[in-house]
Amino acid sequence: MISKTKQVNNTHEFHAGEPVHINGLNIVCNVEKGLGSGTQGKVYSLISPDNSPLVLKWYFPSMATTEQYDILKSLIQKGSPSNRFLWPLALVNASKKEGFGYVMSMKDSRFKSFSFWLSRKVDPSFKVLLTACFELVQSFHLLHSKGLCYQDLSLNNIYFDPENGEIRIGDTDNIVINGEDKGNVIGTPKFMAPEIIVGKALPNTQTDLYSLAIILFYILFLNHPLEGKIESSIKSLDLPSMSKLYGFEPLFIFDPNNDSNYPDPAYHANALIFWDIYPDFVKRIFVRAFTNGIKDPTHGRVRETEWQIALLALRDSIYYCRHCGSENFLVTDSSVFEKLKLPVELGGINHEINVPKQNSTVERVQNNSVCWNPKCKTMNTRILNIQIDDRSYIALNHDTKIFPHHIDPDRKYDFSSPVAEVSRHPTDPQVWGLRNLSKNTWKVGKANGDAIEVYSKQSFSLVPDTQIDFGSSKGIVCY
Amino acid sequence: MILLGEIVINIIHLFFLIFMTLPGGEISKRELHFIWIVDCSGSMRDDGKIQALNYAIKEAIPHMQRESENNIQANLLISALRFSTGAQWIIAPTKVNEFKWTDIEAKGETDLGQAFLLLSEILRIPPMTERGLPPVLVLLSDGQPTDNFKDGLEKLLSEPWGRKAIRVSIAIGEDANMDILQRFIGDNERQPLLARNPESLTKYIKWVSTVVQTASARPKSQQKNYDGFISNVDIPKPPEMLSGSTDVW
Repeated sequence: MISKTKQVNNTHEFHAGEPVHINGLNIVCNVEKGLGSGTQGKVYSLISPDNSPLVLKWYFPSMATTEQYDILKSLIQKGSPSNRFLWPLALVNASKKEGFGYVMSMKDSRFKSFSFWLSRKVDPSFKVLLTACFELVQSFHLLHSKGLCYQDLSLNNIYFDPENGEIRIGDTDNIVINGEDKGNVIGTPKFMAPEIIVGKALPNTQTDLYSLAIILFYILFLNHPLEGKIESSIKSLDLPSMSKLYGFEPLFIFDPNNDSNYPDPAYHANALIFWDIYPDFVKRIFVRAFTNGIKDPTHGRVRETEWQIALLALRDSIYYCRHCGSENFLVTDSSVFEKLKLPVELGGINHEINVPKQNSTVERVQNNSVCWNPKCKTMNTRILNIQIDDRSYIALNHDTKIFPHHIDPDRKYDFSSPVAEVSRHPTDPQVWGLRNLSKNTWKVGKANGDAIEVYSKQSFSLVPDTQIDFGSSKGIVCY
Repeated sequence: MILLGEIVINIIHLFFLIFMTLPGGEISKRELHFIWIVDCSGSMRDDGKIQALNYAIKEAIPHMQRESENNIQANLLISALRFSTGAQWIIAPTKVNEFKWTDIEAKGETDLGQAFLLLSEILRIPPMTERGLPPVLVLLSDGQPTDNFKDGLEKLLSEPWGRKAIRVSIAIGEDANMDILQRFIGDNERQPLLARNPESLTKYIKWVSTVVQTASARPKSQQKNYDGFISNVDIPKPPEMLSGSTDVW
């Protein structure tokens, strides 16, 4: 008979309690437990002297290459671009173990894999999803601007907090200097740029941009951008058919000039539902990402800065349906909105890109001011919003906050602390106002022509045609 | 004042929002069949092999379930087929979260050919879905087939889904016929996994039930020498077995 299995004593594995000397951090930790293994190595949680949550990734001997060692060394030396990255902190060698590993921070349990959202196991709001998308784009912008390239961007290595949209990016040990052709991954099939699949390119920042667009589409449409009728006609989705679908003959499901891969309502209802909800400027940027962005990998891809503008404009346009409370997107026909049509503003852009016409198989919402909620469909009119100069507008809800990003052209993407918030009159709950949270005094021109000054912590009533001089920009209350 | 009332209504929506969900549903997934093909011949009684196998599969279940939780592409369905004297389905396709392994016993011959025939009957549409992923077939055996396995294998590979399937085989102990296990895999790039002891059996079973599952379903990072043309599904390397040896079969 077989005797009881003895303690695993492989030279590249750790058991619980084993000490790990982390010279780079000048500490000794103990292995708590194995968390799982991937294609490259095994990951363990550590017990550290100051209880900081750390994990150890130890490479399989075949993966513990000199090249990998050098990549890690360089990443540790460079330091993390931001706290959104689960970045290598220190290399680990152990005299009795084969190979090497590294330690990084453990992500908090509040961060969930996006697969939880795609499987609808968590229930985030549009605001949360757009915040997560914005953070992703911003983080990769930061990474790329340092000359680094992620190489293996997919939904498998990013996480978000379903409560507030904060993100974390894992598997950072494949990040290399763009163009150096290092590392041993080329990507994850459904997220790889077509030029990699057909063998014309290796991962680089341009292919990262493509993977990023795939991720954004997945998150906002719950569907792969290339999975339409052609995909549903494939009986067995094996590698050859995947290479064709995602590499050799990629066709966007909403390609304005070719509807042969249009979503199949039986399998791709999500794509159809969400396509109807988002405003045209969002559709237009995705059409560009998956038409020009496929045809012209070098110049056709949507840049991170363009995604940032579009995602934030979309987030600012959220208003709650007055009847059911669902988040809808405000579309104004004003000149401000015309300028928001990103492609026009940012150059390199095809004015001719039209959003494809939809067929009538799924019930359609014709007007964006009609709530998308099928049980509600209330027509929302007179949605209060504030237009800032000719740049942007923000829908005003009971919980809206305005940040330096909105009012100060020199502090774009600064969401550190709000400068204004929608507030309620202390004695008359019928009256809503905008409270000055900044240190500056606002000059407010009331609709009747009177001019008043609004000091820090004071509010003024939100009445249409009220004009506010924030100092760095001017706003007007509209609906 | 009327319009400010509109915002007032919005505060009520704060409560609504708690119950509000976004439209649409779960992302549409493809069916992924994962099939255990288990040798229950008399020789599996020797040295506690069958017990080790029962143990290893049970041990792998939670890992399999956890892995499939992150899967955005596949609905994993697990079934099991046993062969000894003749072959029978012992577990019908079951959702991974509901999958339970009942210990099996060993006695009789090694009718591998029968098992292949039985398999070939289900690897077609229907009963397979019109929209699936290549199935994963895992063959576990410790010996020599006692029937005509060639005809069975031929029949299996004549079915498109049998050909497209990811076929993995694990030899339990040195006596297994590696040649036949290799012919089942078909692909010369990969070899049968040889489990010399219970520890490595547990490890290989965990590997097939997690990593191989995701090779068919959730796309994993691919290594640089990837060549999308040769194989049907890209399978990561099996775990490296270094001498951690306990009892040897």
